[in-house]
Amino acid sequence: MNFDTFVDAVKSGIPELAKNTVKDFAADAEQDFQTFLESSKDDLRRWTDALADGKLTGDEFGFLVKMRLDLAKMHALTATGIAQARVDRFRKGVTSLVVKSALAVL
Amino acid sequence: MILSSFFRWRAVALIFVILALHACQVTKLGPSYSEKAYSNATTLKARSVALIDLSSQPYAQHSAAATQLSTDISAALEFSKGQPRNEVATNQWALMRDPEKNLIGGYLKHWQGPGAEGVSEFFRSEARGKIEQAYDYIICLEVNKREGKTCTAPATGG
Repeated sequence: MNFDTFVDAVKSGIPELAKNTVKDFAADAEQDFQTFLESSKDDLRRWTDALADGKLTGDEFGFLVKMRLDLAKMHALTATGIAQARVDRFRKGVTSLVVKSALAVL
Repeated sequence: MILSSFFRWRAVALIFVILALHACQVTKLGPSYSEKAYSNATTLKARSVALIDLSSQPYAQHSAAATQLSTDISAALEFSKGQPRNEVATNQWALMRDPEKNLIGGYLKHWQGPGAEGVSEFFRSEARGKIEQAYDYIICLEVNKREGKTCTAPATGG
């Protein structure tokens, strides 16, 4: 056993670790945002119809639109927090991999 | 020569172990999962929805419950602030609580507004759905602090 064994062990563990934590996050986030955007359009169509039908007052319509914007902020905050959590899990995984590989060759 | 090489790579490996353990402690980006925070979010979601359902009636009939809910949301916010590296969730709770915004804090203020005779059905139904979604975002974030989990897509509509 030598140092190369240690390095090889770490390198071989990284792809699986990345797959289980941070990979595809950008694609997931993009899809998630598109879904959110479509549901926002649906809401606005429904509220506009309700306003025209007298089911909503102008104030209520305005409130719901602002509520949608606040919901978008909540959505963005969750996405940010999940990204942080994924990076943390990846880092923790790398640390664990390094420690395990190093201990194996000690 | 062989012996010194033997000990050298062991020493290098040991240094890696020490550095990795140190790195693990100092470079965490986000907060840890909190069972209390999860419980806050799920409980307050249920209570908020129940109160919204009652908002077809005049505010005066439910002012005590509304005040208690606001107080408890404030408590959840304070708890969130106390957790290290928890700014994201704290910002979410602040948005939920704020009566000048348009989530549960703003809804309770709206209910209390001029006339205060009760909120119309369509508006109530739509707002209920959106506030549920807002809580789901908080819950989703908390769950993902513990493990990567796909959250159920929030329902569209009220």
